[in-house]
Amino acid sequence: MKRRLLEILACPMCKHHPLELKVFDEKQEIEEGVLMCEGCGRWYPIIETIPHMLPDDLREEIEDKDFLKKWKKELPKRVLAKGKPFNLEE
Amino acid sequence: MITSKSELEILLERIGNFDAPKLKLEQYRLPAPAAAEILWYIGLRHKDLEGRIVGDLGCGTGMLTAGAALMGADYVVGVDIDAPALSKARGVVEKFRLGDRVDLLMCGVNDLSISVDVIIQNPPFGIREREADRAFLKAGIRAGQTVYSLHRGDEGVRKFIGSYVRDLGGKVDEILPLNIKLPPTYHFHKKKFHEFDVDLYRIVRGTC
Repeated sequence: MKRRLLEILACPMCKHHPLELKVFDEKQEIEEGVLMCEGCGRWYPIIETIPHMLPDDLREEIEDKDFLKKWKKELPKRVLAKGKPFNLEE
Repeated sequence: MITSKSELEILLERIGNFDAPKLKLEQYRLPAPAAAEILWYIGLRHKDLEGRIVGDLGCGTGMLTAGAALMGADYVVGVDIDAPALSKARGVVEKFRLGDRVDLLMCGVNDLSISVDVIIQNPPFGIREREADRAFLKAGIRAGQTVYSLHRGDEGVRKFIGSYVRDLGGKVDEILPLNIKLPPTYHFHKKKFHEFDVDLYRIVRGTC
């Protein structure tokens, strides 16, 4: 993913724009990271350069939680504690 | 920079098929000659590729996404719901070294919220999943100022799309009829080639 995607992409659930980006791994482009929505508190993983912008009912809880655990040190506390649709505390 | 339609077609021929095409999503690889015809029409007749921000909805293995970038689009976003297709598309983008101008996105059309200059899309014809084509038209017109959308070539379909697009606040500006020759993709394709007529619609938003 390139940063310019943020200019044209809004949250698929609440349509808030822009989304906030946190990068975990970057080579020629962003390999792994997270897109966060200030509007509804949802987060979307970027995996192998591809942002996964799925609605709640298409997300896999186990995979999502594994992603949160993998990047626990890098992720903002609010995502870990209260992120939607899944987080590590609720 | 590409200088002829046949040069584009030869490049696009290198794009692979789906490993296991999903019937539910009506996945098939748009043949390179048809893709080149479509991209040439959009890029040269309408000047809607060079320097533009383009979205490809239901990008599959990246035929039109890569093609739009090869035709000089400033930035292309390929969107698909299917993970295996996206990973194939990523390989295509890398093969053509288009990584600095192409992004891929996993999202369904109903939820998609992007804003671009031009949408190109080869949606399901809505044969397996009823009204899948409508969801794409709706998403396309929401996302792009100009939309190029491929549908079954049929008088009834033309009538329907004309009025459906009008209801969505757009206008069918031009129709390019094409013929597609598909190598057998599904088990019920018994012939050497599965041939069918399609129409490429050029739709402009907000002109009625």
